[in-house]
Amino acid sequence: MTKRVLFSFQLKKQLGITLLFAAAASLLSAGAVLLYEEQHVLALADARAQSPALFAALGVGGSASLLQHLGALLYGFLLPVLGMVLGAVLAARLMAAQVETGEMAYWLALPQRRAAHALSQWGVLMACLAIFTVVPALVAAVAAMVFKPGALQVPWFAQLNLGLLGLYLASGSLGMMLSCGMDERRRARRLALLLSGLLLVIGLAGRVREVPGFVRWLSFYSLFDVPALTAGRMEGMLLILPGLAAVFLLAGMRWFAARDLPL
Amino acid sequence: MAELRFRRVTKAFDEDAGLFDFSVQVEQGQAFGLLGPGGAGKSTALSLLMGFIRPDDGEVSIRGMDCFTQRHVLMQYVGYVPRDARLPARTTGDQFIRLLSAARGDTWRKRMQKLMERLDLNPLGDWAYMAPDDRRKVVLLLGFLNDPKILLLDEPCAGLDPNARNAVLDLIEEERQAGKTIFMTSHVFEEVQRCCDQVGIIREGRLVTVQPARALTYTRQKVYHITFEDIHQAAAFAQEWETGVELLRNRVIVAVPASPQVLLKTLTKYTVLDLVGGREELESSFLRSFGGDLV
Repeated sequence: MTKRVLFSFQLKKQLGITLLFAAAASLLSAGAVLLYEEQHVLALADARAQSPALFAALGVGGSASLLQHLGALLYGFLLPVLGMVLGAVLAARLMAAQVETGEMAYWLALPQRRAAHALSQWGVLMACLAIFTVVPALVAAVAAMVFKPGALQVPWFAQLNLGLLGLYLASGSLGMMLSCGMDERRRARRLALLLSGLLLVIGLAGRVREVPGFVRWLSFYSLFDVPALTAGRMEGMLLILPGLAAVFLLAGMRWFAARDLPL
Repeated sequence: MAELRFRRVTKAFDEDAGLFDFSVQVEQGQAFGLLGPGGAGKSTALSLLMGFIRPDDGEVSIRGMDCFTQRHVLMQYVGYVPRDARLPARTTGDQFIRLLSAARGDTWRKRMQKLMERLDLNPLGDWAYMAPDDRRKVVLLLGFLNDPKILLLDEPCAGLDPNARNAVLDLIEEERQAGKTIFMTSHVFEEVQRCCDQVGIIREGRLVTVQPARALTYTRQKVYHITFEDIHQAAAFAQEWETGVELLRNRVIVAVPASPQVLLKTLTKYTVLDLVGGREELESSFLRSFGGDLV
């Protein structure tokens, strides 16, 4: 009862910012579908030929199909960055901000374990990230149906978004873990952005041919292999992302349950 | 078994801040007031009881259960009023009261209504735009809402106007009479004297004394303002009386520990133009006894 009531309350509180991010991502998605025209595809191919390392890092590959085009424009860099920022912002709001304002005192005055509260807040974060994944994907799918009928391979597109959700789960849970250990929202947000950003940069660098191969495995962003997913290959490595999310969550719950709270 | 118990508890934030070798126990149905100046460690004691922090040394328990590890069990019996805690942004007092009430699995409608009337509270406004008085009342209502058997109150009357303060003190007294166990902190003598059976005085994290609340009355001094005919007589009196005297031209302020009989006998030798007597403010008494600032 306690968890259900708190979950729906917190979800409503975070819905505004989630929908704002989802709207921005939806605009990008719809725009990317509309850009799937021969002249734009050729222009992109020209640009890629000029600086292959940069485009490889940003995950911009070929645009042989609409799915590959979307993968090249959005899923290699833009959407992972937006999701990373949203995850860090929400995680800081859901835990550290409550300690900072003293609001946490009310939640911990209820007969529930600290870990249960952290789990419930993580659930809210995951629900928000799921909304953020699904809304732009639906917008892109609808735009493709209307403007490029039959061009989008829907099952592979769904698989690509499932992979993206896995990536959000991992980066959001990393932010949540840090937020569980912090007393100030800004500090939690900054640290989550810094760490996720660093991992993203490592992941991007790992895509460049000139960089040693082991580098890409230093970051979980490398597990989200856009060219493979847009080519219709289900990457088994993707299953590691929810596993990582679970590890971050457990570490965060443990940290939160064991530490002193300045309330 | 004591309902609330601190056993040789130390929680140090730095050399002078925190609680040091703090031992107190409160029996079931008893009201205990922890009195002390700002930064003395009163809120730390409550944070330990609420399981927000864990002691460096010693034990803090409620009903024999450890407050940190068993907090989730203990919170069924506890109502907590924090000193300074905000409600979530863009939430009205009413929404939040209903939310926490539902989270506890009951709507407590009758009690909510009763408490709102008692506190003269209209909780419909957004927290961000609520008057400080109303905010405090919302927080108080949340603490009392689920009819808890144990009340932990951190400066319950802080920031309230005199009418609201009286209403809150009445409410606490009623809860005490209903057999609730109460642990409250304050820096106002009158509040703890009115609501509590036992009072602990704390300073710089160390418990100075624990005494029955009634005993506070006897430790207070009486202060007299005496105006003499001239400055010489005032000076002569001040010299004769020696202790607890303040000389202000032809006026003397003197603190007398017990009966004023000796003072009156001494004054027969002088020409007194005016004599105003009264009870020393409790706060002044506290400062005199223990030093420090009460705010």
